[in-house]
Amino acid sequence: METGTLLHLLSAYLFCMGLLTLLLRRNTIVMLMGIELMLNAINLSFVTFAHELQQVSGQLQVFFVITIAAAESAVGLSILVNVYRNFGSIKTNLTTRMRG
Amino acid sequence: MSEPILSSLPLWILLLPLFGFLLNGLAYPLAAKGMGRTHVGIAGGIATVVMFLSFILACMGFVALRSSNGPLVQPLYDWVAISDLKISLVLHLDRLSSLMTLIITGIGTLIHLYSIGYMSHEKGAARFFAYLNLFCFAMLLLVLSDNLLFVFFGWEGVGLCSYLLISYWYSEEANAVAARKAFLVNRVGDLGFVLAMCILYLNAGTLSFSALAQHMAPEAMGMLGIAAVLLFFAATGKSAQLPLYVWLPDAMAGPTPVSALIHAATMVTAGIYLFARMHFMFELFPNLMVLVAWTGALTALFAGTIALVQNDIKRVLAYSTVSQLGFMFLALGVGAYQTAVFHLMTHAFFKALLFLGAGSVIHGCDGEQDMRKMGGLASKLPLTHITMLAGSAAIIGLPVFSGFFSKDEILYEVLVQPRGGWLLFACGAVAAFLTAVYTVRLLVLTFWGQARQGLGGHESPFVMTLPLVILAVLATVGGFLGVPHAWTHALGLESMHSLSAWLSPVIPAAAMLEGPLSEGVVSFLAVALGVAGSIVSYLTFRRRFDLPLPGLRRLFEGKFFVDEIYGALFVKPLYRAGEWMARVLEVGFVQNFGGWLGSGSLWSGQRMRALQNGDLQAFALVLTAGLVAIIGILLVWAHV
Repeated sequence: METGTLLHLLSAYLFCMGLLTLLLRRNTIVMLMGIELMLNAINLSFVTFAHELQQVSGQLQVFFVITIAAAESAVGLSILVNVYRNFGSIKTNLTTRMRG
Repeated sequence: MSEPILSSLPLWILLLPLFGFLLNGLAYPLAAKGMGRTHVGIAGGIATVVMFLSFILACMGFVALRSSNGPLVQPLYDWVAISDLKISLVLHLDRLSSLMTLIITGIGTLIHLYSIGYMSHEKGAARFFAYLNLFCFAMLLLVLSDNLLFVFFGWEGVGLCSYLLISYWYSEEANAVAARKAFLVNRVGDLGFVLAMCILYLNAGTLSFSALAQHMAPEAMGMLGIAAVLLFFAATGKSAQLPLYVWLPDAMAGPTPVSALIHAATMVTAGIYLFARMHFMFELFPNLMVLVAWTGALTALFAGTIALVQNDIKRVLAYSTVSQLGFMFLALGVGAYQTAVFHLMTHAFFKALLFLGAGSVIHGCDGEQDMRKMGGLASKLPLTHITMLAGSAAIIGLPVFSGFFSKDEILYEVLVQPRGGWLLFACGAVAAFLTAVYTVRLLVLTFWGQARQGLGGHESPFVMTLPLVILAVLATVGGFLGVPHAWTHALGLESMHSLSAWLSPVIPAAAMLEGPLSEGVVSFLAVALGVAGSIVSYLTFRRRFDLPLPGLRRLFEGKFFVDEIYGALFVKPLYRAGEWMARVLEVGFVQNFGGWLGSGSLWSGQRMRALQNGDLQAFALVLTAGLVAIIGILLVWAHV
């Protein structure tokens, strides 16, 4: 099997792991980690495509994703601090009071 | 006359009554702080003045048309303009419209003036005069449009005003019922009008008369035939012919000036006007024309017999109107359009006169309409009596009076035209005889003989007698507009049938043919019948009120039981269907439908709430499922 295909498969595997983490784990911090995992799976995919197609734009895109992911983590974690203050927990099954 | 006035003449003729309607219907009641406080003199004055101004303009239009054959055409605006569908409001004053306009505004003015006296005891008469003005507006729109659609607007407008005025005294249920009957029966005919317009538009792509006249293509004969029949059906509704005449006698529930204006002189002639206007289409269908002639002849006979036994003075005149309208349709059917219009005009004079005279009698008798209680009123109401005599002489057709010329012309044309014949002539002659009988009966019961109940205190005031006198003069001399060709020919003069000369650019004259009898003989016969009918009637009804033939009397008094037959065939089933719907559909479905909608949304809302549980990951799951579903669909789509 070619390296590119292997990398794509790895990327898809990582994405699915991240998605499952997001869907199945109750701990919000772990869910954020799942989201990071998905974003990095996408990054891997971008880089692979950039390599295959010999285009630099895929690599550029990765920087954007990393930047946004950093911002997202910062916002997400600060929300979590407030959630913990209000609910005394960061488990999603205990923070359903807002009904969406 | 300056050019701008002339070019917008039709618009001003049309708008003045509308202006009067707005004044009386809106401005004056607002100024007087309530309809009930409006004064009959002021309201009637406004209404009469606008009608009179309109009449003067109509006269100016008449003068303008004398010098030219062409119509005064005034395009107002394009109402609809969507690619091929183009409907414009164009006013069109040609010689036929001009004649109708003169009748409407002229007789309208007299009747408005008369109403000031007749309605003097009414509170809030502004409503009455507003309706009358609105009626005149609608009727003028009907005769001034060059387009079937706007004629239809006028057609519906006069129907509406007829409804409003019949039920003017709406607090009595009988009046409201009569108005509803008139409206509904007219709607039946109107359906024919609408369908005919649809067919004509589909075939010709236009609704304007001038364009339609050029689109009478022989290849579309089948559809055109249906349109012609439907249009004739509409005319029978408005002009109270068999089978749709039933509303007119009941329409007498309205105030008498209304009966004179709407149900004798103008609105009921709309059907004849329409027929004369569309004669180019009807002419293509000889069989239909025979049907028209027979409808007219039978209506004339039928209504004449019923008029013999009516005891309400206005109902006699109502059936008489139906009968005279039958004469007009008889003339239309044999192709003598000009003659029909001639009789329309003379009938407008003498029937308006008779109605107004009857109104004067009713006014003098404090609202009593039963002729059996009257009698001997000639001395108490001398002016009314004399004018009524002139009107009666005109309707009977005594020589020199207007009805003599027009009715003889109809009878003569029926005899000589190829679609006529002896049978139709016989119907017409018998109807003419009956006309004399019921008219003289009316005179005998009302004016002559002994006063039976001491009714009738006073002659009517000047505002009421003046229109009577003017109309009496018109009813007496109006016939000289149509001096028979045979007379002038015999005297070696130029033709003096000025009405025919006037109308010829618009409606062709009936062919001059030699018949089995000369016009002189027909005239003599008609006069003999009239005089015989008068004498028979005088001798019969001098001593009694009712027909001395019990079998026939019961039939006539039951009005041939047409109302009962219609009741059983149409009214009762419809009522029953309505009741069923009220009981089953309304209660079972319509009233619950809203509730069903509400409870359905509540129920589905309850079910949907389960999804909205607030669990972040449940939402994410649904989101993911949706994403997977969309990707799946796209994949499948790409591979199919």
